[in-house]
Amino acid sequence: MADYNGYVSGLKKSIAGPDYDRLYRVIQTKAVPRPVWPTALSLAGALAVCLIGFALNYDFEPGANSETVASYLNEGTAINGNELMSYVFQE
Amino acid sequence: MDIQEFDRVYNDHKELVWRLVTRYVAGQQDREDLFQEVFLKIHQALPKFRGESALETWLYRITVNTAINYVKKQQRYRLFHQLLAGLRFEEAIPTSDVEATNLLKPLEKLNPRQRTVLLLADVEERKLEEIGAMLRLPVGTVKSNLSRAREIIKKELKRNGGL
Repeated sequence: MADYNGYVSGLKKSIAGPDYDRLYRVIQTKAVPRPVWPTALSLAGALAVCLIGFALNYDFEPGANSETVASYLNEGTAINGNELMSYVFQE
Repeated sequence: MDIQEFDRVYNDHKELVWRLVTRYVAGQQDREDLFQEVFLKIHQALPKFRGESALETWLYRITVNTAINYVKKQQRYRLFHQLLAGLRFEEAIPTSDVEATNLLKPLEKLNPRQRTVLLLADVEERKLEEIGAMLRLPVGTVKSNLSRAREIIKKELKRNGGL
């Protein structure tokens, strides 16, 4: 029993407190919820810039690059006189 | 929330919360982290406090529940790091406050409820009825948990030569 009482006395010993003012400031900073909209707004802005950049640079005209073999498939009319096509289809 | 109300609670009860926190975790950093966590919970919950129980009882309840969860989280974290250290991926975490760790070691043999009951009854010297109200337990359950906790600690002290 003496052992147990000694142990409990050890637990009862108070431990020097921390810097309560510093911890109070940290708690206040964490307690105030940070607004979400600046992050959301900057992400949306970055996405918009990417989309606009893509739209401006992408060539939407089908078959615009007649040098590729695939463009042959998309052409409505036969491609005559094209060096690459002649090479591919030469007999 | 009325910021003055939180300030008042903080100023009046910071020592109480700190005292409790030091009986659950060793090491200054962990103690400060847990202390902050407790007061963040209080900050969140204070507007909903309707005064159904005494403020101190309510604060004890929040502190004890937060501490129990913190200890569980810490145990999982330590287990994970021990596993990594065993696999030699990293060094085991050194314990900074050896004396405090040794003092808290026998308490680790108790389950969270036994540990809390023992700390509140024998260390904080709270009445069993009060503890029952804090933990929302019948007094009979508090009593049985307390006697079981004492038994385990005595056995543990005997095994370790009284610390």
